[in-house]
Amino acid sequence: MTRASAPDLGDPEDLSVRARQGSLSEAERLVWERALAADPTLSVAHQVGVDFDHVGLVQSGDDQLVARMADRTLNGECPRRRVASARRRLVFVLAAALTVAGTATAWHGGVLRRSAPALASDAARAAQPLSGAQAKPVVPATPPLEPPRGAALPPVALPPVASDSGHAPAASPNAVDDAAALFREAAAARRSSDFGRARLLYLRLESAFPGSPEARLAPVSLGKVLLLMGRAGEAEQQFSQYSSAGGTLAEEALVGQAQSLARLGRASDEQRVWQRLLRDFPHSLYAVEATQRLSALGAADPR
Amino acid sequence: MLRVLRLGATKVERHPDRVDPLRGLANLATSGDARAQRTLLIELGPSLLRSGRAILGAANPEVEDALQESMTALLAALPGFRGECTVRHFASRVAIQTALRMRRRTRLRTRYVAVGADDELGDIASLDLSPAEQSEAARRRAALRELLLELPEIHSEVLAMHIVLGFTIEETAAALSVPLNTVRSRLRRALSSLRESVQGDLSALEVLRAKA
Repeated sequence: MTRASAPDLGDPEDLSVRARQGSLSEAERLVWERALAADPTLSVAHQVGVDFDHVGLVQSGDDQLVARMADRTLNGECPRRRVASARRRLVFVLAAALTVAGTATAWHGGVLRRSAPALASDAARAAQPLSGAQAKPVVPATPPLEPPRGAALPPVALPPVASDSGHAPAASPNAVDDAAALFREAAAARRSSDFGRARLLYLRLESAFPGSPEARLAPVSLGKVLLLMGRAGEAEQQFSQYSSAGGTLAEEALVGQAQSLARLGRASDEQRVWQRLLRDFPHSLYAVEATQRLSALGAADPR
Repeated sequence: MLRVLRLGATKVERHPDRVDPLRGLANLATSGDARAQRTLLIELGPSLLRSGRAILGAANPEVEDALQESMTALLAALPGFRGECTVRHFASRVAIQTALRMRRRTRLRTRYVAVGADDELGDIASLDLSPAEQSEAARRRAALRELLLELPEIHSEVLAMHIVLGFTIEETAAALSVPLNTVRSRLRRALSSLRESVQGDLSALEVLRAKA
C-alpha cells in the first residue's frame, strides 16, 4: 500500500476516520485528499467505512430493548433465540425417535407375522427342495428408510468436477445445480487457491448456463484464475472476450487484459489497453497502476 | 470465551490526564454491585447494540441475542479490565467479538444466502442516498461482513474496529492492548486483504466498485 501520510498529521487511516467524522482541518484535508488519490486501498477502505456510517444503527425503542436485555442478563436468563433453537432441536429429536420407534415396531410386526406360518411349515419346507420363488429373501413389511446401496439415484444435473491438482472436491459438485451456486463454488475454490478446480468450475458455468448473469461475469474471474496459473494467453482471451461484449466489470477486464499482455510481452497491445482504461475510466482505482505502466512503457497518458 | 482479553504486558500509550467517566461505575460493577451492573449495562447498551448491528446487519433477528450475549460477556470480562482503554471501547470490543462469533456460528446457514439478504434490508432505511446508491452501499457492507469471517481473527477484529466502528489506530491499540505499530501492521494487512478480496471476488468487486 502506498503511504502518503505527512508524519505531523498522523496516519492516513486516522485521517480517514476523522474525515468520516467531519473533523479535518484544512491542512489535514489536503494531505488526506492526496493520500486518497495515491492509495487505492485507502480509497476502498474509506468508501466502505462511509457506507457503515450511513447505517441507521440507532433505532427507536432501543432504550427499552437495552433495559430489557440488561434485566434478562442480570436475571441469568438465556437468549430467546437460543431457547427457541433448543426447543426446535428437542422437537426434532423426539420426532426422529418416534419415527425410528415406529419403523422398528412395523419391522418387528412384519417379521413376526411372517414368522408364525413359517414356523408351522418348517418341517414340510425342510423336506422339499427350494424352488426359485421360495429362495427369495424375506422382505420386511415396511420399506427401508433409505434406498439400498447401489440402487439407482435420481439423475444429477451435471457431472462432478475434479480438481486439476487431484484433490478431492471440497463439497459434492452434484449439489451445484444452478448458475449462482456454481459461481459461488468456483469463487470459493479460487479463494482457497484451488485454481485448477476453480478453472473447471468457471468453464462448466460458461458451458452449462451460457445465458446466466454469472456466466456473463465468469470470463473476468476465469481470466484472473488463469493469470494466477501462469496461463496468460488463455487469460487474455477471457478478458478480451468480456471487454468486447461489455458489462459492469469492463474496467476490471481491461486491467486483467493489460496485465496478461504484459506477461506475454506484447508491449504495444498492453499500452493500448491501459490507455483505453484511462480514457474510459479516468477515475479508476487502477489509474495509478495504469499511469505507472504507461510511464514504464514510454507511452503517454491519454487524459 | 474472550480469549483475547489478556490485558497484561501492554505497551499501549496511556493518557492519565483523560478521565473515563465510566471507570468508577465499572469498578463498582466488578465488585458485584447489582445496581451498578444494571446502570453500566444500560449506559453501554447502545454501544453494544451498535456494534452488534454493524457486524450482523441492522435487521438481523439475532441482534437481540447478540446484545444479551455481549452484556453477559462484558460482565464476565470486567474483572480483567485494567484501564488501558475506556470502558466504552472495551465494551465495544467485547461486542464485536461476540457478534463475530455469532456470525461464524451461523455461517453455514448464511453462506449460501445471496449478498443483500434480509439482514441487510434494515440498513437501507433513512439514508440521504438514491435507492441505487443505498442498495450498492448495503451490498458493500455485506461484502465486508463476509470478509470479516474469511480473515484471521486478529485482522478481522482490527478491521471491524477501524472501518465498522471508526476507531482510530490509537483507540484500537488501546482496546486490543497491543502496540500502535502492531495495529498499523495488522490494519495494513487487513486493508490489503479487503482490496484483494474486492479485486479477486467478483461478487464483492461488483458491489465495491460502485463509486470507482
